[in-house]
Amino acid sequence: MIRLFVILSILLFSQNSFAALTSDSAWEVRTTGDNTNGSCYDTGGSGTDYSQQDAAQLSLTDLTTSGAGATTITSVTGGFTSQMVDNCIRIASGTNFTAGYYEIVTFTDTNNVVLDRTPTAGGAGSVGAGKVGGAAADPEQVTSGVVAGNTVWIKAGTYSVTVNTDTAGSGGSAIQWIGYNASRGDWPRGTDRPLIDCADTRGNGVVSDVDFQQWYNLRVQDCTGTGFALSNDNAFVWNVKSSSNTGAGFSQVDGSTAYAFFEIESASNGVEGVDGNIASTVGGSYYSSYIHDNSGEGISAGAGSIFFNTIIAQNGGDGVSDVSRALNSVSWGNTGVNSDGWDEIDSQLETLINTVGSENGRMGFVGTANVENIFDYNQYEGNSSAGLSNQTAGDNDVTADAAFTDGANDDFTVGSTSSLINAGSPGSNMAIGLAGTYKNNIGVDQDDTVTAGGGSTDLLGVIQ
Amino acid sequence: MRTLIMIFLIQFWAFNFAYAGQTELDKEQARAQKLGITLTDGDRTDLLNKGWRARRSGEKGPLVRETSRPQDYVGNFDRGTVEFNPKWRNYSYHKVNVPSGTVLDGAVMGACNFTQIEPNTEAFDRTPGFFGHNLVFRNCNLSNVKTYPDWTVEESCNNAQVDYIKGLDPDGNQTIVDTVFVASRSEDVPKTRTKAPGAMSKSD
Repeated sequence: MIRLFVILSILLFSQNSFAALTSDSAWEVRTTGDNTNGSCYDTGGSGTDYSQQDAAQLSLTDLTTSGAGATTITSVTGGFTSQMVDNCIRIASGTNFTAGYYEIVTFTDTNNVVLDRTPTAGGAGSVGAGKVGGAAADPEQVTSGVVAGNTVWIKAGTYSVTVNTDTAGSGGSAIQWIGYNASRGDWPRGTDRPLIDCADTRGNGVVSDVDFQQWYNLRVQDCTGTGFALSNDNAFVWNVKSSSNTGAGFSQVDGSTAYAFFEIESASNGVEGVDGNIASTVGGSYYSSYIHDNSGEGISAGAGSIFFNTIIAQNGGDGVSDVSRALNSVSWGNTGVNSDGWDEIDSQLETLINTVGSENGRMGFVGTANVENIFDYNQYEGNSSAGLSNQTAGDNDVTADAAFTDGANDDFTVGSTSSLINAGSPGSNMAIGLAGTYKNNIGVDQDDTVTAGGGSTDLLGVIQ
Repeated sequence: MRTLIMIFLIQFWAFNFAYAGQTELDKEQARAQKLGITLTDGDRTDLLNKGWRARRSGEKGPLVRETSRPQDYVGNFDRGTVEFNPKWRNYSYHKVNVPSGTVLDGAVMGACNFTQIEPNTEAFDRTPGFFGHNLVFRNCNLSNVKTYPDWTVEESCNNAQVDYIKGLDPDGNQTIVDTVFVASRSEDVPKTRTKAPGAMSKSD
C-alpha cells in the first residue's frame, strides 16, 4: 500500500512538475500592455479572458508555495477569483520561484489557486511577484512562453524589438503570430498592420529559427540586417510587408524547406527583396505577392520555387533568379546591365505560362542551353537585349506592348490597348467567383473591363 | 614615345574591339524607334565601340540597361547620375539630381530607395541653387547615404551605415553575403575607421 502511494505520488508529482501551458492558449500583445502581465488565456476554458486588457487583473508580491514541487500558490493579500481559472499568471521573481508563465487551473479560494505546474521546483517559494491577466507589451516578451499550437495576437502599434522565436510548433500545431487592428481576426491591411521597427539599430526584425511558425498581418522595417529572417522548416508568411531594411526584406537560410509566402510585399530593401533558398532543391512558393524597388535581385528563389499571381518590379538585379514554375506573374522593369526578368530556368520541363517578362535591363526570360521547358502564352517586350535567351519561344507568346495602366506606380492592371487581354492560356482562368468580365489574360490582372487609368491597384490581393 | 603611343592605340583599339557591337546598335535602334528616340551619331559610335549609349534624361524604363546607361556609369555599384522622377523609386547606387526643397515620401511614392554600397556615400547632386538642398525624407531607405544638416531625415527613414560583405553565391558569382553595422546615422560614422574584412566598395 505504501509502495502504491509512493508510485502514485511520483506520477502526480511528475504531471504537475512537467505539465505546460495548453496548446490552445492565446496570447495578447499590445503596445499599451506590460511585459510583467499574465498575457495568455486557455481558450478552451470557462473562465473570463483577462489577457485582452492593458492592465493586469490582479498583481501580487507575496506569493508563496509550501515546498519544492508544490503547484498551489498562496497569497495572504489574496484576490483570486473563480473567473481567473484558465488565465495565465506571470511570475516575475521571488525566492525559489522560476520566472515564467503559468496557467491557473483550479480556484481554491481568494488566497489560493493551483497552477498547471510547479513554479518552485527547488524549494518553498516566498515573496513571489506575479500578475494575472493583462496583455504583454511586445511580442518578443512572450516568445519564451508559447508552446506548440498557441496563437499570439499582436495589436496594431509600433514595436521596437527583435522577435526571436524560441519554441517550435509541430505538424498540425504550428505557432501562429497574427497581427490585428481593432479586434482579433480583422485582417488589417497597409499601415493598420502592427509594425516591428528596427529603428536603424537592430539587425533583424523577426528571426523565425524554429520549425512550424506562421506569421500574419505584420510590417517590419528599418533593420540593419534582414527584416524577416527565416531559418526554419515549414514557415508560412501571409500579408506581411518588409521594407527599407539595409539587408534583404526576407531571407531563407539554405537547407530549410517548405516555406510559403502569401500576399507579402518586400520593398526598398538594400539587398534582395527575398534572399531565397538558392542552394536548396526546395525553393519557396510565392502567391499574390509584390516584390519591388529593392537594391539587388527581386527574389533569388532557388530551384523548385513556384510563382503564382506575383509581381516583381523595378528591382536592382534580376527580377527572379532560379525559377522553376511561374503562372500569371509579372517581372517588369528591373534595372541593371545584367538584370533579367526571369533568370536561370534551369531544370528540365519547368513550367512558365501566362507570365510577363518585359522592360528589364537585359533579357525577359533566360533558360539553360539544351533544356526544354513547358513555356507558352508568355509576354516579353521592351527588354534591352532580347525577350528570350536559351529558351524556345512558345507558339502563343506575345511580343507586343503589355501596356499596363501605370506599372511605375504599382498599377499592373491591363490598359484597354494591352496585348495581354485574352492572350493567355485558355486553361488558366483565375476569375472563378470574381465579379466583372473576365477572359484569359497574361499576367496578374484577369479583368478586361478596366480602361487605362481606371483600374484597381488591388490585384487579387497583390498590392497591400 | 612613339612606341608608347602605338601601344596605347593598340590597347585602345583592342578594348573597343572587344566591346564593338553592331548587334547592340541594331537592338537599340529598334528599341529607340519604339520609344520615339532618334539615335545620334554619338549614340551610334558609342553602341558600336562600347556596346551602350548614354541614357537620355527622362527616358522611359529602367535607369540602367545593357544598351543604355547614365553617361557616368562605372559599374553595378556606381551606376551614375540620373534625374529624379517620382515614377522611379529605386535609385540604389545612383547619384540623383533632386530639386532642392523636394519632399521624398516612400508612403506617397510607393517606395523610396537610395541605398549605397559604402558608408557615407554622396547619393545626391548638391549643386547650389538647384539640387540636393533642404530635402525632406520620409519612409525612405537611406542606407549608407551621406546626409546633410540642411536635410530633414525623419525617423521613418533608415539611415543605417554598414559594410556590405562580399562572397560567392552557389553559382560562383560575387554577391553580398552579410552586413556589418557601422553606425545608425551618417553623422555617427567614425572619421577614422577600419573597414570590415571583405567589405564591398563602389569598384566591385
